[in-house]
Amino acid sequence: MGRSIKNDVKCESKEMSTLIQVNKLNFSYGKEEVLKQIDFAVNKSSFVSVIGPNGSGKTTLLKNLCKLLNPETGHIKIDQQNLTHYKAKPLARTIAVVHQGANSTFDFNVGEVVLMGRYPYLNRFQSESKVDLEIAETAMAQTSTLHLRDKNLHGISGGERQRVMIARALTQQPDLLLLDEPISHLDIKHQLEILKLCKSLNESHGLTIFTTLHDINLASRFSDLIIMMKEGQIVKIGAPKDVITIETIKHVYDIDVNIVLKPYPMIEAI
Amino acid sequence: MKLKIRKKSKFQIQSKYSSYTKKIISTLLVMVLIVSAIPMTFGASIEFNGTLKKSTTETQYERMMIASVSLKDYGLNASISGNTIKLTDGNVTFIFTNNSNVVKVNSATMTLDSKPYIKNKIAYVPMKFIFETLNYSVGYNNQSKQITAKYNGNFVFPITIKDGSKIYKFTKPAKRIVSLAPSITEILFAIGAGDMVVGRTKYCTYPAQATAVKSVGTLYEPDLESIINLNADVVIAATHMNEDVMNALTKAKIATLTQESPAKIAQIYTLIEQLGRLTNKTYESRALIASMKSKEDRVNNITKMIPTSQRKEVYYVVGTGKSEYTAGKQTFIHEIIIGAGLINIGSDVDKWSYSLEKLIEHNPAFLLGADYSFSTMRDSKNYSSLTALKTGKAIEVDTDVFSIPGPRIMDYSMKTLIVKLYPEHAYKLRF
Amino acid sequence: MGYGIKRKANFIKIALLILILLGFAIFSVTQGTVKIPVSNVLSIILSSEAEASIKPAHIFIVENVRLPRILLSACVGGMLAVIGTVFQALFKNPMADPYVMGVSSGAAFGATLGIVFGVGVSLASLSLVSMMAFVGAMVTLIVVYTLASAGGKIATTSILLAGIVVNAILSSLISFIMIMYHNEIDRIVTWTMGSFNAASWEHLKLIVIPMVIGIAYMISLSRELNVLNLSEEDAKNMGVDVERVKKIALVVASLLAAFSVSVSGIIGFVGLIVPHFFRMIFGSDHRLLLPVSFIGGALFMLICDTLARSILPNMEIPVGIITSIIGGPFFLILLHKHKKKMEN
Repeated sequence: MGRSIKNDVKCESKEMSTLIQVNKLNFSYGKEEVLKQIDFAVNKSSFVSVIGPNGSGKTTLLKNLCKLLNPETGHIKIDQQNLTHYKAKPLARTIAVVHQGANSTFDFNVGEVVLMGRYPYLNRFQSESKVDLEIAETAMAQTSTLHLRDKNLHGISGGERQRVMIARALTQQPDLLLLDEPISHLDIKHQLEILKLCKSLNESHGLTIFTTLHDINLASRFSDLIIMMKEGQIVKIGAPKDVITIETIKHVYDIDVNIVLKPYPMIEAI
Repeated sequence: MKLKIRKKSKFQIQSKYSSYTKKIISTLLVMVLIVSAIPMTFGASIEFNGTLKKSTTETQYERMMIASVSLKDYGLNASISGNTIKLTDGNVTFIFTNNSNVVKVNSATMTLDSKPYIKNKIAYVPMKFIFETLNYSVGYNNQSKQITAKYNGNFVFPITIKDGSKIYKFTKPAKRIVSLAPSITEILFAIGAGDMVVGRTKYCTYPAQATAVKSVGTLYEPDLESIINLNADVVIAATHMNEDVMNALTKAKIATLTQESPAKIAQIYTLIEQLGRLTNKTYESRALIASMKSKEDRVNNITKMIPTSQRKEVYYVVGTGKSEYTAGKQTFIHEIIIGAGLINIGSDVDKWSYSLEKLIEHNPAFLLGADYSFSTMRDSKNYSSLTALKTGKAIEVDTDVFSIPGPRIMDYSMKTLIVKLYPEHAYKLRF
Repeated sequence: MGYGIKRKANFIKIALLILILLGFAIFSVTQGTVKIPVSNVLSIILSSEAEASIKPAHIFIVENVRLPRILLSACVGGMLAVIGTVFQALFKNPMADPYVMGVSSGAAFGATLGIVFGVGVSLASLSLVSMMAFVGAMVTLIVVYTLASAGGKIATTSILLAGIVVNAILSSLISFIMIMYHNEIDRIVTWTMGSFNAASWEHLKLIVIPMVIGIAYMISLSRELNVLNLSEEDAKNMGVDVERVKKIALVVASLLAAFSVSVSGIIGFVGLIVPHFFRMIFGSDHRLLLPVSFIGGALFMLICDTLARSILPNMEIPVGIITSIIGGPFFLILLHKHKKKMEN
């Protein structure tokens, strides 16, 4: 379990090697083509947002990246290794996913849920060691959920629950954190809270963030790289100022907007 | 009688002779009439196990009665004291009462369809009943015009009792019995083995003495602990028991005997015989069977006289309301019904399930059943077309007793049917 | 760190639970329709030679009627509780019970056929009815499993639906048979209501090994069951082989359910309620919950069966009735208390 010191190493500098490499990815649900010829690469320690209208394939792309779905053609490489060659537990040590609407059927308390993130590191009959407990504590501290530790997951707010899930993801000590619409159902205060948390994890620990978002402005504010999708294809990929333009917005969303530079571009609907 | 001879005309003399003859003839006729009314005393010749014996017999109400003095030839010593007639041969003791149809055979008491009587210090007792109790089969040789009695063979332990494909072996008589069926309980008490019954189901309530016996639950949920604690030799059930219970009893070294519930009257006799052997009450069981067969014979004689066209149609209600249940062709109740000279509507099915439509279509002249069945029928429009309900031809019978294949099929079931449906013949039953 | 203290508290609670179970088991041996003095009962159990002063019938009753029955009811109770816990986790449904895979109606159907058409055959002291019940349960399990698994994946909703449909079909068939052979209705109904009457050492020998293996296996899946609680997707992304876990857990649990049902008939409520009860006390971590459910289920069933055989003199009440009558109100009270606690 030599992963415990991994995060310290990451702090030093943002390495410029590729973490995610997607080539010619095609995916269909039955006969319906949902992803067409997706190609992109993501560097380590970047903050990537995928935006686009409903049905553009954002969530499907994310699910392909974490092996919940399998591409028809094309391949995905994570950290230079083909996704298909990853076994379940090693993959879980590399990628952690936070899905929408965190919930649990039965009553677990926050501490228990966060500790579940250590699953990929423990074998069947092992119980959690002191180190595991410390990692969970650190994750909770980072997500400001430590004070919730003994509370029932059902007894906290939506925003708190989302932070708990992120804490759980962090205990997996991943290189990549995938988030699927993590803030759509939260109020504005919590939305900012979550994104600021992700940004700080990205900046201080070098954690690569890959998230789908609805809100264009928030994506623009926090991301290094934006992938804009429409109807299963990537329309534009690049830095926010290159992607968030009047023409691209018109093309993808069919609305007319003004762009305000803030220093990041912000759209104003006309 | 004075003879007056007068010298009169020829004509007058002739008429005097004819009135004299008339008187003789009429007296003779009266004497014949009187004589014919009294039982004819014969010296009957009986072929007894090959040996010819002559015994004094009389016939009363179609039953041959044998004189007590003749019984010595058959090993029975008779003693009469007051109204009590006692016959014994060391193994079996009969206790009859003058002019009463109640008889005690060893430890069992039962009723007969004939009454013994005392005449000139000689008792006359029913012959066939006695011989059958002594384990002889009684018949009549048409050629030699003689009564024949043949010994049925000695009976010793070990015995085997069959139940379908299973064979049970008993090396000695059972002394402590748990009965899991009302019919079994009733038969055991009827053959004088009531004190051997140490356990019964809660439904075994006849005879009254049975209720003093410890209840061990029901056939389907027997109280295993109590049965084991009773140290029974054998547990007897009608129809199949829970196999797990049977296995547990076998482990506890308690024999279990499943006697398939009788579907024919003959099977009831067999059951009584088996139980008699099992408990070593062979005389009592034979006596009981003999008494029942004799009564059955009376009923047959009655029904022989009823032409098919005059036989009454009945439908026996086992259950009604949601579904119709009756006594189908393969039930002993059906045999009782047709044995009583009736036509059983329910005989177009084999077992118990019937249909409302068929019942309505047949619209039997008579219905037999429990009062609650009839009120169910009366409360529902479905049965409104059954005329028997309205014409007073829905006859209440005790269906609980009817459903027990045991000693009361003659005394109660058969008798009730004759009395209620052929009342004009009821007097011929003699029981 | 609060973990150490919590663990100690749990340890004490479990030890207490085991003590209660053992204590009640001993009490239960002294109970029955036949009055046997407690001192005799104890000497029968504790000493190996037969005491001369004790009636042989009493010795037999304690050793071959009560003892195997107590052990069997405890084992079946424990099994049902564990199966219920596992199914509730797999199906993410608090209403799941051991019979959702159609196991109960399959067993009942097999038993019905055995009762009506069997000729009282026994094999190795096990009745035909028990064997037919087991076969019926297994066949139904295979059918439901096949119906619900499309393309190699098990959709839990499909299983629940398939189970419901199969239950409905088989129940109707059973009713039909009951009408056709209505003089066997008593026996069929008695069987379905569940009972430990005439439990024997043979029954126990039959289920002990599958029980130990099956329950050990399911306890080893505790972590996976915990993680599955979040969502199947989350579990997959955390490294759990969800499909494999579901398949094997379902089959193993249903197999144990089939064993239970064939030796004791259908006893409801235990597999549904015991998990919930102990979740309230011990939390939802399956590493603790599963063993505790086993002990708790054993205790609950033992209490109910002891009542079933000694409440009425000389008559047995089917244990399934007792589990509902006791379990129901007791659970409602607990639910009420728990809700109040949550609101504060």
